[in-house]
Amino acid sequence: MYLKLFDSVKITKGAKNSVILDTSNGFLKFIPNAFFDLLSNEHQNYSVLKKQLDNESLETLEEYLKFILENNLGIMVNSKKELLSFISTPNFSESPSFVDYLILDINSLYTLNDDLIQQICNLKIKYLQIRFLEMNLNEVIETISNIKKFNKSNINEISIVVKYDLKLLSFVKENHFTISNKFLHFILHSSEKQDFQTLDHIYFTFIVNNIEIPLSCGLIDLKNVNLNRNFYLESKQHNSCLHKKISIDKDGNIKNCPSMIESFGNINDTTLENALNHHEFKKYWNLTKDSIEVCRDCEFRYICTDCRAYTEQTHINKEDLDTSKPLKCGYNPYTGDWEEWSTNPLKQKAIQHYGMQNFINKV
Amino acid sequence: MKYKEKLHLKGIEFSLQEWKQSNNISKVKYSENTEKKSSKTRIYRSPKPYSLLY
Repeated sequence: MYLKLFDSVKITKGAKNSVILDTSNGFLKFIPNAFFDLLSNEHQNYSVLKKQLDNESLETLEEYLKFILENNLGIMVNSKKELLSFISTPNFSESPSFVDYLILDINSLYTLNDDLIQQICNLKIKYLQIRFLEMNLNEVIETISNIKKFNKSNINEISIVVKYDLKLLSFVKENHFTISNKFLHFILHSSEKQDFQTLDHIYFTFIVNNIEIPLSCGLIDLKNVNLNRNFYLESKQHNSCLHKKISIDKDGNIKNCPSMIESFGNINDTTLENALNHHEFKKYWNLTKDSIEVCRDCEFRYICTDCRAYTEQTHINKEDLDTSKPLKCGYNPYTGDWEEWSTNPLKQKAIQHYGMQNFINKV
Repeated sequence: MKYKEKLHLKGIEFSLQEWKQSNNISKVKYSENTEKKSSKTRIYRSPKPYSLLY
């Protein structure tokens, strides 16, 4: 008897615990590392193993197999021939576009001009996030009215991060059909209560906390782990945050991420395509969690989003890439405990380096 | 006949009871891709977050 896990079921081993997850339904649970070792050997013959085990281990094994079968994570097959008849898991499929994600920080009415819109369309960006910094309501509304110019583009989804304002919400709700024909996700921070609403092709997320751009970014938390199948496969081969992502910060600097320091030109004097072609632009794209300190021993490493903008600043590799653990992650894979990252004494030096003390006090 | 010692599962870090108590990772949110306008039209949402802001 052999155990075949379903194709959507993935297992990852950490220093203390392992996890098993199902990308088809969001199932995620810890498993002991001994269980991981058994599951990772697909050619394990359980009929033979059961005869070899002592009574205590046999009881454990029976519980393990029951866990898999009761949670619909796999099936028992009778022969090796039957086991080999399953097609092996495919790797991540690259999209044909050069870049898929664009984050645009806006603090001026003139940032999202026709030239930039044309560049975004030409690059065939699929996912666009517009993050408004301090701007008056009329300017925000005028900019949002401009996004209908993306109606004929390749964009699948536009995410808009903006401070909650009842007048803005009313405007969007009253004009939702004319604003854009794309799927829109409004993230309204500094709201009175946490909530979400849907209105045809628009999804609203209301966040109570104030989002301070760019310092709020990079928050790694259990609630932010991503059980999407493509994300999991991408994370195994590429950087889970920066791969196929380009950003423009509030000053027009073209970067991997608006929170990072390194700039590859300014939107006023270079194009997005030129920045993308810079020989260093993609240097973090293939840095996986397997190469990042601490994360490499973490069972969540393929389902959490990395952050290269704010790190603990402890390690640089031979290629001069920062391979330190993300600063805003409070998980310790060696103990299996989550703790508040901002009060960790070992992180205080990096917190000071990024000038985050006031930001943390406000949060 | 030589006595053959039974095998023990190696590296069992904690007991079955401990595992059963600890194996819930309850904070995780999972959203199914149910945003289908119709069987012919499907909205493709971003598979990964743009930025981790909250």
